Amino acid sequence: MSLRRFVARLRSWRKRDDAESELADEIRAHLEIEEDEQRATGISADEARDAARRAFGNVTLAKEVSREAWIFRRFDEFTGDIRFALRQLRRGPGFTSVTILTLALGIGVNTAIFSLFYTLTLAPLPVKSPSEIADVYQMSQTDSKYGPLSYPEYVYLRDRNTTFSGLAAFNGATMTLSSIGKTRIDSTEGEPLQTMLVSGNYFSVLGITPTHGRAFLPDEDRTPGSAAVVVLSYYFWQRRLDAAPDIVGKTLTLNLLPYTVVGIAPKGFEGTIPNPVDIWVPMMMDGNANPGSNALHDRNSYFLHSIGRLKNGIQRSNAQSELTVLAQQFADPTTGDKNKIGIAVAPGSFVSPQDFKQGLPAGVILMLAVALVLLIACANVANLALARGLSRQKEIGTRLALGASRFRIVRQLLTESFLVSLAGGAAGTMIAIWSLQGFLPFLHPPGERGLNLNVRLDVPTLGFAILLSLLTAIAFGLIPALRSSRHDPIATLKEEGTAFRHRTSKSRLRSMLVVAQVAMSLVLLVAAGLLLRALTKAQRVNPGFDMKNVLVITARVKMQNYDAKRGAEFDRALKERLTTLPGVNAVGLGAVVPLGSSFYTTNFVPDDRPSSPDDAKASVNFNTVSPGYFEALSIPVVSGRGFTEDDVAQNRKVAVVSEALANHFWRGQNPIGKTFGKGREVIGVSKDVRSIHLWTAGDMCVYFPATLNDSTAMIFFVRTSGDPGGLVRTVTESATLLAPGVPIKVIRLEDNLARWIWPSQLGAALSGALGGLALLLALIGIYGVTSYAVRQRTHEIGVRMALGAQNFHVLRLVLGHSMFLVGVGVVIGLAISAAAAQLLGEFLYGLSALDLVTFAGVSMLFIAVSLAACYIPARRAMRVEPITALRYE
Amino acid sequence: MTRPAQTREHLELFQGTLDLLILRTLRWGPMHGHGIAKFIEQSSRETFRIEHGSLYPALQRLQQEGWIVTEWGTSSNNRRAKFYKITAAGRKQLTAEQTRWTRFTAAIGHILHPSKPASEEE
Repeated sequence: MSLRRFVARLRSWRKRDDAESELADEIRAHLEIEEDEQRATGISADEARDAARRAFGNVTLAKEVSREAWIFRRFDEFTGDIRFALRQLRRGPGFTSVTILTLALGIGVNTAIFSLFYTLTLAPLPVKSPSEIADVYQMSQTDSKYGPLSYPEYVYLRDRNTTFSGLAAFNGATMTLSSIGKTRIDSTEGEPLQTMLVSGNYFSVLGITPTHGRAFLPDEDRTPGSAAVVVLSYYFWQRRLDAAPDIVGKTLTLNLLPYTVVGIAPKGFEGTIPNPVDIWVPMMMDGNANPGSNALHDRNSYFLHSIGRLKNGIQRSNAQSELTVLAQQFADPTTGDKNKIGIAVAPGSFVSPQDFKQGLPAGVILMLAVALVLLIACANVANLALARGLSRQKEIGTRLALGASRFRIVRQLLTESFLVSLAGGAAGTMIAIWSLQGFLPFLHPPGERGLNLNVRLDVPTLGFAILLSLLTAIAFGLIPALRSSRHDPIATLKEEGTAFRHRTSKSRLRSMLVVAQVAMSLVLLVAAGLLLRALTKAQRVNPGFDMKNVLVITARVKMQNYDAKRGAEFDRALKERLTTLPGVNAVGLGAVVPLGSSFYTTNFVPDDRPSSPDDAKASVNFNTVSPGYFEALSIPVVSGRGFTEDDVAQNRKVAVVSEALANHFWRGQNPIGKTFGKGREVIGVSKDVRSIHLWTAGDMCVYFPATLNDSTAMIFFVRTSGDPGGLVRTVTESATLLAPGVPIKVIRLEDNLARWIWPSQLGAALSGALGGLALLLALIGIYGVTSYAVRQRTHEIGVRMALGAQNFHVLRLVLGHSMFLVGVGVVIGLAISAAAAQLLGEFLYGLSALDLVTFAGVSMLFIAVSLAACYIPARRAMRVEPITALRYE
Repeated sequence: MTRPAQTREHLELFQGTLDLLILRTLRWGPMHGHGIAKFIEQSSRETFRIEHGSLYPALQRLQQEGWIVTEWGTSSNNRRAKFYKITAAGRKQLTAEQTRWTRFTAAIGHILHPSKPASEEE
């Protein structure tokens, strides 16, 4: 259609009502004129009228075809469909509301998960032109792990590349805030702040301009230790500093050093990792941020994240090749094959490809679970739609008889489905986004902050929601629509006849839907059950040492520049003091907290045999401990002995090994007296502890006695006879007295466990919620079907009762069919669960995926609840009065 | 609204011819719908017996194209009726259509009666 015609048509469309009535007038006039002419030939008035009509032809047809000149037919039909659909939906408020609610739940939960994952993985970073941003990782060509760079390596790449317009680097740290301006913070340990150490060009590469003040200058990126400046995050400024307007220029004391505030980052930018950042500090201050660190000069210390902006038109693959060459040039030829070194350039994202790979199994399982919930919801709605279609059979049959095409009817019914689905989708998505925004800040392991995820209703999420709504509408609407519009309405009517039959509802489709619902719901419930049981099992795991009643004291003496001698003096004095406190059973020192976040590994080479490649691969953890460590943590020393003060005083080269290590290197022999590492003697064997991961047993561990050099990095463990909480204050005071000005932190060891339990707590909660949702939906489905069946068979029930059937018989009749369906569903569900439970793998912490208790328990729960759901309509059936039933034809 | 495919085909073929006939009729002067119908019937020596109703869609279409305009008036027997008048654009369209139609029929004529001398062409 040409533009001119389109415009003309549009104009006449606007005046279509007038045109309509004018045409009617005109045709009437035409008929009158023709009538007159006919009369003139002498026939009667009535005959004339008929003759006129005959001559004219089909008036309605003429009007209809004429109308097409001034309407957009398809559009008109479309709006007509929508208007009709709205009217129909309004007429059945029960159906409409239940359907919308069900769909809102199903679609909402899916949108929530999608939004979460999209924001975390695919959404562009909150920086300028995010498509140009790329993450740079060190990658060995042999194993495909994305790793960090070292600082000297980064500098080399930064200065020599030609593919990036700027290459920045960053690393996270925690710095302790002790005063703001001249005011001290009210806490002995100071306030830990989530810090990001960044290269000078970090903000400019990302295109982030501070709202107040400035970012970092090139000068501040040159000399280590010379740039005590800090950029605050907007959120930190608001929350902690009360948005003080003159904050730029003031000082914050971080790690006992005054830093000048030079700028505030814009609102909404909280860093390029999921954990939100409080402050940014130049990389040059690494020595202060991580006391004792020499990372800026150490080419073997790999810890740095790197991110850069590609030059215009440069592909990531080009950058990758260039950087790989540079990295190989930089590599020290003495440390292994430099050809194995590679650089990977990945699209800029919150998570590294490594994290993504690790999180993928959980993500996929979660998405499958919510998809199942949606399917159950669809089955529910489909059942409802089928039932409703039957009640509209007369209307549809009439329309078919009048000549409507099946396509037209299906199209109209689908319009109703789409409207309901879109309404449900809209409601669900709204609720989903609001819930996420409300809950995410609270969703974090204890002791950490919530995630830096800006979940909002952006285009991809909205698109997903709409797409899902449309697919859902087709899923639950198409088959009922096709069913209802069958060309032979008599067959449909016969099938659902109200006549007295043995089984009036031959609808196998509805039965199958119920069975499917029950099966899917059961799968989700079994998953939830397994996770819950795994969780309780996990909480009872014995880590090999007694976590209860232990206090952990960390004193960051390096901040006050204690040397080894002063450190040792402090260690000795505090240990003495603590031992004398009432309620303290044992005190020991160690370099590492068991099940904490860091650990050290070393090579272990026994002296009594040649080193084999197997030995080199065996990763052995080590800890440097003082006498009293094993007692403080209640780790039994099963043979030989622990360390004594004498060992330390004499500086003996001794060690204690764990059972697993002894078994691995000296199987069947007595490890006491054996030496390793050129002359270090094994003097004791301790019981195994789970020191790195709560879920892996058999860690090989070697303990070295603490020497003078270790003195500044030791952690105190205090075993108390009762609840350690009461001693926290005393202990803190004792420590502060002996080390004035040093940040002291005292916590309970068992609080460390929370960090490990948290993911499975979250998983159990989530799956419990989803399982519950699925159960609810399935129950609604069962209730609906039973209720409908009762209504259909009221007549039959009445007759039976009149003929002498007891309540019990009626009950059996009604429940029989429904519970049969439930039974079949449960069996199928169990089969699928058995097959699919393997997927949960690592989240089950060793619980068998085919845990009988869970399977049996869930099945019984389901059957019991289904019985209850069926019982309500069944009771209605029993109350049927035979007379009323018989009257109801 | 369903309509068997055949009728639709007839209608489409007919549409083009009907347009031409209506325009030609209106060349003689403004007329109302009934008048146009009667004129076509009579002028074609009763060959064309069209249903009067089928005029109206065509009239709407021609109106949309801007080839005819309308005006309410009084008919010969004092009835109110809507009169149609051809426009300048309509006249141009008519000439074009006429030429096309003549050429069309001549071509068919050539095929059917190839012996006809060239001088008898219009």
